[in-house]
Amino acid sequence: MKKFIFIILFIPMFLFASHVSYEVKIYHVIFSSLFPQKDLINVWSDSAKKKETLSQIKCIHFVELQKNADILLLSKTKNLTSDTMKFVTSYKLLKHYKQSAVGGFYWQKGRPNILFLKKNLQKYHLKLPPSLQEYEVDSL
Amino acid sequence: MKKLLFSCLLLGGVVYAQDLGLLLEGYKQESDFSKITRNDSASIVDIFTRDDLDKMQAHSLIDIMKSIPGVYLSRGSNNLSLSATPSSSTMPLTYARLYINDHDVSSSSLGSAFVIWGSLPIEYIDHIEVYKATSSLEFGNENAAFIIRLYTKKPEHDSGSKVALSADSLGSTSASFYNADILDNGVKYFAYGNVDAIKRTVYHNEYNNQVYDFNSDTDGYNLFANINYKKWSVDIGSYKTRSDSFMGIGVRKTPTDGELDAIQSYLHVSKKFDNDLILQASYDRVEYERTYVDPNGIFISTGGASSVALINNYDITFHDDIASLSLEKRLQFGDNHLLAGGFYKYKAMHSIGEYTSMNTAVDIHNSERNVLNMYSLYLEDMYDWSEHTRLIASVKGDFFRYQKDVKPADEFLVRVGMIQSYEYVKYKLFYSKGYIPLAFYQQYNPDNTPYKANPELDAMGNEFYTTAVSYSKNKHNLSLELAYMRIFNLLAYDKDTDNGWLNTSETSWKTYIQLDYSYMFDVNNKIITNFIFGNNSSHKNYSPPYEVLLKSFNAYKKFEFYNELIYKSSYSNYGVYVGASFDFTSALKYYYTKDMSFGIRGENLFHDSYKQTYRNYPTAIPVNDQKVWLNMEYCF
Repeated sequence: MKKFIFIILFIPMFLFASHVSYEVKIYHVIFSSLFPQKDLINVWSDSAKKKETLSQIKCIHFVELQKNADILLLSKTKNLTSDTMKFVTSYKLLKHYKQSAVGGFYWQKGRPNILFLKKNLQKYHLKLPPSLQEYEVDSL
Repeated sequence: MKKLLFSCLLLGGVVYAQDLGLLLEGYKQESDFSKITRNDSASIVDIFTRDDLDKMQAHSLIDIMKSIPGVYLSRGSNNLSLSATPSSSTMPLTYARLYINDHDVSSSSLGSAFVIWGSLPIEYIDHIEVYKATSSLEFGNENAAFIIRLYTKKPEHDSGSKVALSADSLGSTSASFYNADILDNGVKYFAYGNVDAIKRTVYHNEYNNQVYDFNSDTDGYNLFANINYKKWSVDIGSYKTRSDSFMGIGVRKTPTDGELDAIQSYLHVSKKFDNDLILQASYDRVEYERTYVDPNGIFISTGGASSVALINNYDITFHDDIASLSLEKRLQFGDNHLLAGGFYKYKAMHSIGEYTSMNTAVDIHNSERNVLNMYSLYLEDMYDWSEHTRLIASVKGDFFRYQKDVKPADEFLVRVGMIQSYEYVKYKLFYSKGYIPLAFYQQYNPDNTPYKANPELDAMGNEFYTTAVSYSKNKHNLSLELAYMRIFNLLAYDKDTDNGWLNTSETSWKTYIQLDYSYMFDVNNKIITNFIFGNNSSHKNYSPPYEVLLKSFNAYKKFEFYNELIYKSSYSNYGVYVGASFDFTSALKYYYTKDMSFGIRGENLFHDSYKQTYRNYPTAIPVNDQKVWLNMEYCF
């Protein structure tokens, strides 16, 4: 049993061998923290580049149809009316989807930023682990 | 069991979540634009990343030039930023070129950018690449052996605004502002402005019981904008600088006035086509006025052998217009990666001189114009010999055609090399043969005033042999770089001859050895050490033959630290002995919030900076001042 726990604990270590980019590691932390109970997270994205980059994450499955997605990962699309929860890659999109975006990971002011919108996390009944709560904000 | 599994996975997630701050820092460094722009095949390269520059709190290009391993920042007697390699005297002006993004900012009259841009404030610079013993062919422009490339910040990473304010213990002030954004229509822009007034230590000279001050303060402004839309990119820049003339160029080094007042503005447009074709066009306007006042005389030439005069007021103005058009294409045939390109440059020079003596015995006014039409074609093939070995061969032809007076010249450059890359080891070997371009001030001035020029002058030739081996494993990086350079057809200046500038049949050589070791403790903490040795064919040291640099970049919680110690060995020049120097710089930055930081940077804290000797001056003068900067930055 001890061996088993050891292996399970260190699976992520092996998963994140040094050749995996920091971007991939960060997205893994974000999605696995948003959906801790899911083995496989269905994600729809409007960015072919993001799909290619994040395809290395085993717990993420990219879907073709938005309706099949647990979350929409948006890099450019601004005209979505669906209330499916969203995660965005620009500050502008975060402001645009402030009613349905749970957070964003984007460059601004010379640094990469991660923000989670507390109100929308509550709306979708999501609770982040304590270590990520410092990235939660009440509003933009 | 399932519960346990979930708990463990969750725990694993939490373990990583705890490190999210470190992951973000790692991501920031992983995304550094220098990883895209760095050109390893161009030769020996040193990089100052965005993170390095942030921790260093560097204000101006001088702060960077001081920290380049194996290149000594020097100060000309007229306050010009110059460079020297270990043991050698300062490089000729045309030896070095400066790029801002893809734009070469060299003046046509002076053949150098550092005359004007040497003290450039760099708040708008994202990262810096320094290429040593290179040919510049990879950068598709005029030839140079030492190239500094500055890359401006990009809206992709820097959307938002930033204001940065600084002041130092000598009374200098600097203010910068920039704004960047990506608009909904896809237009990306970055706009920047800076004003500064830099105060420097005043040195003195005593002659005939009178004390003369050596002032070297500078002030000016810098404006820059980049607009990017689809595959179009437009850079607009304007840099205005005024600087005191330090000891000037007088015979006795007794200046009473004198300054450089210059402004350079440029427009650079580039378009990338889908088929790896890049078209670039640019225009530069340079207005440059240099004055010297020395009551004890400044030598100038007045034409003909031994025709020199002493004047007191020296005023020369250059108006340069430079336009260029270049086309470059990358192709791939099997294992061959081809780069083919060409450019045309129009370089117009107009100089106006006024030279007078106090007793009016000499009163000369002149005005000269000439135009250089330069054509260049180049081709490079990088052939993947095997999985680990890449062979490089390149050739370039530069064709100089002047409107009048100066003879036409055809110059050629060839370069062959090899790069081998294995898991931990990289090996480079290059040979290049080329030339060092001439500037208008050396070859054109029919009236031979204020200096004697030579329209029949041939460019100096040079040959480089460079090799480098590096070993990188885990957090260690060790590299050794060796360079041997031969310069032939050397130029000499002799004011007692008809033409002043002359070609000699002499050949000289220089050797250069650099050993580097760096260790990355983690994404926030690293140390870098460089050991450098240089030698030259005269076996006389015009500058220190040995240099050791030790740099540490650290961060802890809300603090960032930078420490730099530069040792240079002793040397003697112009009959003046200069002892070994230990230049220590330390910087500390505190992030009050993610958007607001306060910093302090102490320069030359041991008051033991590298000192430089000057002709006809009995003591060596420190190149860098002792000062403490206070900095504040706010992003919004």
